[in-house]
Amino acid sequence: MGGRLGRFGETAMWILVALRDGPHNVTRLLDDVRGLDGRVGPGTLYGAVARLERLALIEPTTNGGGRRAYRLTEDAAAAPVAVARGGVPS
Amino acid sequence: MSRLIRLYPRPWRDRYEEEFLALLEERPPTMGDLLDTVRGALDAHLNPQGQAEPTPWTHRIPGLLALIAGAMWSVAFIAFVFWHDKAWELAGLIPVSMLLMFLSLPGDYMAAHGRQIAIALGVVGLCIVVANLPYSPSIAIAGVAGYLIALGGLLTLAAIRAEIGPSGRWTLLVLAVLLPAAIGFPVAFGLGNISEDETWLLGVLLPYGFAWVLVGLRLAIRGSATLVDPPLNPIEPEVRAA
Repeated sequence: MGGRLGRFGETAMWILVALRDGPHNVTRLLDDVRGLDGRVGPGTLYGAVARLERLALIEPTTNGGGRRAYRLTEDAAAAPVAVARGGVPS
Repeated sequence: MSRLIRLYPRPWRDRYEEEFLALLEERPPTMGDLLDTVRGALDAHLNPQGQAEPTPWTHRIPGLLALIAGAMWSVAFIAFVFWHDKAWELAGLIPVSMLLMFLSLPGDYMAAHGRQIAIALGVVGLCIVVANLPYSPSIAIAGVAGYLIALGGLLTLAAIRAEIGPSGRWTLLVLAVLLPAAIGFPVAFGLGNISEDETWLLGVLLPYGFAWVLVGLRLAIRGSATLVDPPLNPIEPEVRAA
């Protein structure tokens, strides 16, 4: 897992935790992750988002304002725990 | 800030630029965020997320072989200009570089660019034959025969590789060794016969070598399946059956 998420592993985990409350656009996602982790920049946030999308753990959707948001996929139910343990759910 | 976004690769920008800019508008970046964005752009280049897995290092081999082959070919002909008395020794580099070229060429690349490769080889072969004809008709004839074999072989290889299986891949390997022998040796012997006045040949032969260097660079960066790897986009059995 470390090789697949690299330095983005921790941020990815916080994203998955934040999205358990429902779809978020990236601004809210950044606020939530900063609330959980404290020091996340936009480059790191998008590095983690891109990896989570590739791993099919999150997917884009649209919120009420027609803006792109992200939500957990069905495969991602156990993802935060698995990521925290250094692996991804298969 | 939009200038910093340009540091990201095009596929990334197509996918995320709009929302990324909206984010930065709503949360104005600090100096730390700007540095983080630059770092993110570097990561996006080094680890593009468009593919399921990072490119295996073995997929760099064909490109590196092609690059070495192109450089070897070019050096041989540049050296030919400056040390014409060593032409016979330099000629040995030609079959070796051609062997590498054919070994390196991934079948899917060959299938996609077979026509261009065949034309380039044909032009190079024709020049060698024309240059040799006044000095050694037998070598010129051998050159023609070699190139006919090569062109037919290229078309065959492209056809095989389009739906290649394990046995076909080994066939490809065998042909990739035989073809350079068929082409390379007439060319190599021909080089020793060419007079130093015929430097016009370099106008054709050097770009051919440089083109291989460029093809090698592109393949090495992009990655491509080797002869012993599974194809990058294997044909599904049901599709094949259909």
